[in-house]
Parts: sequence; C-alpha cells; structure tokens
Amino acid sequence: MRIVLDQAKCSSLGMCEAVAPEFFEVGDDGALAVLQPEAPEDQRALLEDAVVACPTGALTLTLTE
Amino acid sequence: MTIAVGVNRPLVVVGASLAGLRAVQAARRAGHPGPITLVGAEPHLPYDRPPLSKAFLAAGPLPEPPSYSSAEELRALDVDLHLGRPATGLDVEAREVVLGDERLPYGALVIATGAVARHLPGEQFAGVHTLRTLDDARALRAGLDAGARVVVVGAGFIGAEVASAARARGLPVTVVEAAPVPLVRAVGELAGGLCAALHDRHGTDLRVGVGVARLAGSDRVEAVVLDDGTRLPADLVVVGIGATPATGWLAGSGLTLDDGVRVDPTLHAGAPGVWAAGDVARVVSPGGSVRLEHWTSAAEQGALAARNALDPAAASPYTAVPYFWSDSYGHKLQMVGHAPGGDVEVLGDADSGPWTVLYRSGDALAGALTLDLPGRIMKYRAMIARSTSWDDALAAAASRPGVAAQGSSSAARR
Repeated sequence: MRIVLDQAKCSSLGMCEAVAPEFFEVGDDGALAVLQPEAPEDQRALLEDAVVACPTGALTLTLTE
Repeated sequence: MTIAVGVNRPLVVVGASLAGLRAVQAARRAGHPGPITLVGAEPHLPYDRPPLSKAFLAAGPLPEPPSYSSAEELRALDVDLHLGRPATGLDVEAREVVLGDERLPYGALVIATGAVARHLPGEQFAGVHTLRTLDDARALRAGLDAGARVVVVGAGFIGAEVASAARARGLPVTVVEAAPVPLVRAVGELAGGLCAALHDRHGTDLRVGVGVARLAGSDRVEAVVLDDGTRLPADLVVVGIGATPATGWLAGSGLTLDDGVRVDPTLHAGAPGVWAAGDVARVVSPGGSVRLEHWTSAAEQGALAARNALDPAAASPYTAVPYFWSDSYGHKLQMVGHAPGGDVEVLGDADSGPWTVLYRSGDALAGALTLDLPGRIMKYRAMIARSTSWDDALAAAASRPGVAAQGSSSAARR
C-alpha cells in the first residue's frame, strides 16, 4: 500500500515515528520523512495505528493497484 | 464477572471528544458488530481541542470548527449518537447511564467525559474567559478581534498559547502566575525558567509569584487586582488555571472519585463493565497514580478502554510513554516522559534555543523536553520506553552535532 502524507497538515509532531519508526522519521530539519512510501500489505495494521496516532490527520493509506 | 455486550446492552461511551471518539473507532476496528452509543454533553460533533488555543485564535476570518469527523463518518461507523445530552448519573447495579429522565442500558461503559476549565472564584464579569470548548474559543476570538488589553491568569500551556496568540495580534498582554516559576509541575523549575523566558522575549509582561486577589469592573471586567495591590487594567481576561475532571455526574455511583475516576492500569474503574479514559481517568499503579491531560493519552486510552471493555479477559495495561506538545510565539515545545524532580541536564542554546532538558530518575532517563527540536523528541521517547540509562541518554544527546552540553544541574531540583 502507499503511505500518503498531506504536508499542509503535518506539524512534525512525530507520533507516526513513535508508532512506526521504520516508516517515519522527523529529521533534524524538522520535516517528516516517509522512509518507505510503498509498504508491504502485512504492515497494514501497524500503519493504520500510525495514521490514527497522527494528531493532525496528515496521513492516509491507499491500496496499491 | 463478564457482562455480555449485546443488542439490548450496547457498548456505551459517555464523552464525545477525543477519547470517546477513539473508543468507538477502536471498537469497530476490533470488529465489534453490536450497537455502540456515543453520548456527548456538547452539541457539536467531536472536534479537536489543541487548535482552539493556537491557529483558531489567529487574526483573520473565523475558522471552521476543527472537527474530527463528520456526521456521515460516524453514521458509517454505525454509532448511535446523542449530542448535547449531558450524562447526569450512573447506576452501576442496573448498568444504566442516566441522561436526565432517560436511561441508557449498557453492556460495557467507557467514561470519557474529560475535564472542565476552572474559573476564578468571586464575582463574574463579561470579558472574562476560560478556554476549553469550541464555544469558549469563538467567544475569545471575538474578544481578541475587538482589540483589548489582555490579562492572562495562569502561565500554564493554555495561558502561554493564548498570550502568544494575543501578542501575534499586536495586543498588549500581561500574564499573572502565582508560582515563582511557571510550569513547575509539568517541566520542573529549571525548564520552567527557560519556558518563562519566551514571554519576555516576545513582549509579554510576565508577573510571577503573585496571585489574583479579585477582578474589578461593572458589567464588563475593567481590571485585575493582584495580591500585592497592583491593579492591571484589562479589557479581556483569560483564565488558564487548569481543569477539573468532569466527574460530578458520577457522584453517588459508587465509583472511586479522586481528582478523576480511579482506574487500574487496564483502565477498569472497579465496577462491572465500567472503564474510563482520557482527561477524566486517574490511572493507579503500584508507584502512584497519574491523570494525564495530553492529546495522545486521551487517544491511546480511549482506544485501549474500548478494546479492554469488549474483551476484559484479555485486557492490557496502558503503558505508553506520555507525550505532549505546546506551540507558542512560533516555538514548538515537546515533552516525553515526566519530570521527577531530580537531576536535569540542559543541552543546546538556553538563551535562544533550540535546547533540550533531560530528566533523570535513578539510573535511567525519565523524561525529555525540547524546544524546536522535533527531530529529536521521539528518539528520547524511544529511549525512555526501553529504559535507557541516564549515561547512555546523555551520550546519545551529546553526540548530536551542534548540541553542546550547557552543563548538568544537580542543584536544579524542584
């Protein structure tokens, strides 16, 4: 699946990194980096947790065609 | 004793803010097929509180309410919604929530009624505001739009954010804080001093170590009179002196109320099928008890309480490392863990930031507070979660380029 980040909503609060550090990291520049934008399906539950954890609702997941 | 959650005995969630919303979302995500009822005192769809003291107060057109979800989304979750209906009682024997003259039977109940802003005692005047709800925020915006000499009572996070919003509009602001240093309970004395410096740097007049004796005015407030006799002219007073948990409706229910609903680490409230989450919940553990008022704890506890309520035999404890953030004067403050009152270490530029304060408990890292270091804070949360030693935490912190040690402070105890 694809991880979609809405930059306008992202405040670099880092909850995604807290939940799934292999997929998200707030860098030294303060910007959120999505480390693996295409994620394997078996990570869906973890990534759904990360999506729900975001205080600004900046993340969504899509199905990969 | 297990209560069957079923058609005639739904999962009932009382409190339709973040914890309550996460509870109903988690119940559906866990595959719960049965009826779910969500009750909220406010007439609004669940909405987000943090923006109300930040972007919502900025000058410009009135923003949309920061809603979490639309009525359609809640309908898609098949949640029976009762908004604008404050719960008035709880009958744990009959397993019913009382809403005025209506009774809602429950198979399992999640209490998520949050907290209510504290008011100053004494005479009430127009132009005096607390800030908790959307309606509060709209009223405060209107006051700020009118232009005002602003006095903020309480230099907590809400007070600081409101002061920041008022300064951003070019309004004169005085903040009155009864304690000698702001934020001591949350961040400790040394860090409290670092946070206090932000006010002065941005033109806010911060008065510490003095309390409010009374307000003065006719219909509208005209001044804030301090304990030392100082009279601060004011057109707009914002009271940010904390919030008390909304447990009045639970009086006589038999639940243990002690600055919140006392719950065990799994968020169970001690009565069959009753759980609590968020700002209302005081979580008791062998080490003590804590009632968190963080966005993340409300979200995490709401979800956990629902999952545990639906499968009590598999109930798991709340173990997340606490986290909160606060934005003021263009700066981002973030804290993970807690400030136990022992040794602290300050790193970075204590004058203009960015800086980090690390908190020690025994041999371990207990907490970390950063100013303008969003790339660092979650690394500290991970260290705390894995019980990283104090020495390893210091080494990790010092190894970052450009983050030189300011010096430790064993003397900086609360």
